[in-house]
Amino acid sequence: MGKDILLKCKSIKKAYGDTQAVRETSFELECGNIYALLGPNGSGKTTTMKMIAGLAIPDGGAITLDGIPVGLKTKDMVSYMPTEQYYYEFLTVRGVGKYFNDFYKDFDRDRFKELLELFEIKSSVRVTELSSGKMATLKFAAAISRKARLFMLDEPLNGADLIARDDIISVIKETIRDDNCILMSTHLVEELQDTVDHAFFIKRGQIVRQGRKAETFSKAGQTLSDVYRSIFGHQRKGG
Amino acid sequence: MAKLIKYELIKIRKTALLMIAFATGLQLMMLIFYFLGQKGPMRFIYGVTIFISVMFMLVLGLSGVANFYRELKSKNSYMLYLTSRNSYQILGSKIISTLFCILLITGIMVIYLLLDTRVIIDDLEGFGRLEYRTIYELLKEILAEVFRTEVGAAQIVMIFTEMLIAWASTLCVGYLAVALCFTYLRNIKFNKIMCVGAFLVISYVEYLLCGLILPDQMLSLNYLLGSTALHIIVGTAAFLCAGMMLEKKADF
Repeated sequence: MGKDILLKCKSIKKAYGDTQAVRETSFELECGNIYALLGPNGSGKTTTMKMIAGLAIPDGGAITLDGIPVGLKTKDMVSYMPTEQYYYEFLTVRGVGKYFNDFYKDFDRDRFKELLELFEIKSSVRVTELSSGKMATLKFAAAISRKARLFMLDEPLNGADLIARDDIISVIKETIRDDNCILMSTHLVEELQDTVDHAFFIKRGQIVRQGRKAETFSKAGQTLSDVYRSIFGHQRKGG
Repeated sequence: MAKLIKYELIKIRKTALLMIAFATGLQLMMLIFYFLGQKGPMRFIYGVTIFISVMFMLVLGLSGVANFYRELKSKNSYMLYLTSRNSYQILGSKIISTLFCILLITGIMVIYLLLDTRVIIDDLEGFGRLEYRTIYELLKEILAEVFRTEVGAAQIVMIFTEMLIAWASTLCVGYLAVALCFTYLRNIKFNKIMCVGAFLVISYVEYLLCGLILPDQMLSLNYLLGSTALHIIVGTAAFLCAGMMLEKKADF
C-alpha cells in the first residue's frame, strides 16, 4: 500500500515578465520521503518552492497540500527555509526563536535550543553579526525546529562548513517521519546523494527526469551526480 | 494581530525615540535660556518646536510607507508572508502601530508646546494677551487666536480627530501606492514614479472633495464631521484595495 500523498502540483507555471521560470510542471510528494529538486541556477527550483510556500502566485495550474489549495491555511503546514538571509536586522538569534514561537504554533523551542548548541551559535548575537556559515545553520535550525508537514529547504548546505554539513544531513534524516516529507533544492548533489529518496531534475522550468533513487537510478548503476551530469552537462556546453 | 503589532512597534521604536529625544533636547535648551533670561533664543526654539511637531507627523507617515516598500522589496517580506497572517492583518498592524506612535509623540509635543506657550506666548507678536487658567482654556485661546473665531470643546476634539483620521487615510493611500508598485505595475519601467504619482493624485482628489464640504464653514462641526467621514471612506477603500492586491497579485 502506498504512502499518503502530501503535496500535489498539477501543471503549475510561473513567469516573471518575459522569463518563463516554471512551465507546466506536475509532481507529487509522498509522506515519509526526502525529495531533492536538482538543477542549475535559474532552472526554476526556488520559484517552485516559493509557489508551494505561498510566496509566489502561480500563473496557472493547481497546488494542494493535504488536499487543501495552497493559501493562508497551508502556511501553517509548510516550513520553508529560503536560501537568502531574511530575518529582521534588529533580531538576535534568541529573537529569531521568539519570533518563530510567536508566529508558528508548531515551533519547538527546546529543539531550537538544542540545534543552536549543536551548531555552536550564541543566542545573544545579532543576526547581522553572524558569519554566512552560522547564518546558514541558524536558518536551518529555525526551519527544522517546527513540526511542519512539509519542510522545504532551499540549498540547505550552502555556506555551511564540512562538519556543519554532516550535522545538517543527520538532522534532516532525524526529522523525517511517516506524516511529513522534506523537499530540498541543491546543486551539491554528491553530498546529499545518500540522504535523498527521490529526485526531480528540473531544467528550464520543467521536470525533465524523476524517480526513486534506489529503483530508478541505483539499479541502472547511476548515481544522482551521473544523471545530473548527463542532463545538465550538455546545457553548459551550449546544448 | 497583537504579535504583528508588537514587531511593528519594535521596527519603528528607534525613529520614535529619536524624535522624542530631539524634542526633549530642545525643551532642555528652552529651560536653559529661560533661566538665562534670553527671550530671543527661546522664541526661536518655540518656532522650531512647532515646526518639528508637524514634521514628525509627516516623517512618521512617510517612513512608515517607505519602510513598507523596503520590506516588500527585500527578503524581510518573508518574515511576514511565510506566516499565516493575511495582507489585511499585516497592513492593519502597521497602521495601528504607527498611529500609536503618532499619538504618543503628538501627546508629548502638545504638552511641550503648551508649557512653552505658557512661558513665551505673551511676548509673541500677533497674539493678544491670553487669559487662561487651565490647559484646555489655553488651547481654546490659542485656537481662537489662530482661527479668529470661538472654538468649543467639541470642535477641539473634532479638529484633532479629523487630523488623525486624515493622516491615517493618507497612510493607507501610501500603502495602496506601494501595493500597486508590487503588483500591477511590477514589471513596468519607472513604476516607482508612477506610484508616487498615483499617491499624489488620490491625495489631491481627496483634498478637493474635502473642499466641497461646506467650504465656508471650515471649523463648523458639520464640516469636521463631513471631512472625517470622507477620510474614513477614502482610507478604508485604499486599505481594502491595497490588502486585496497584495493578497491576490503580489509575489515575494
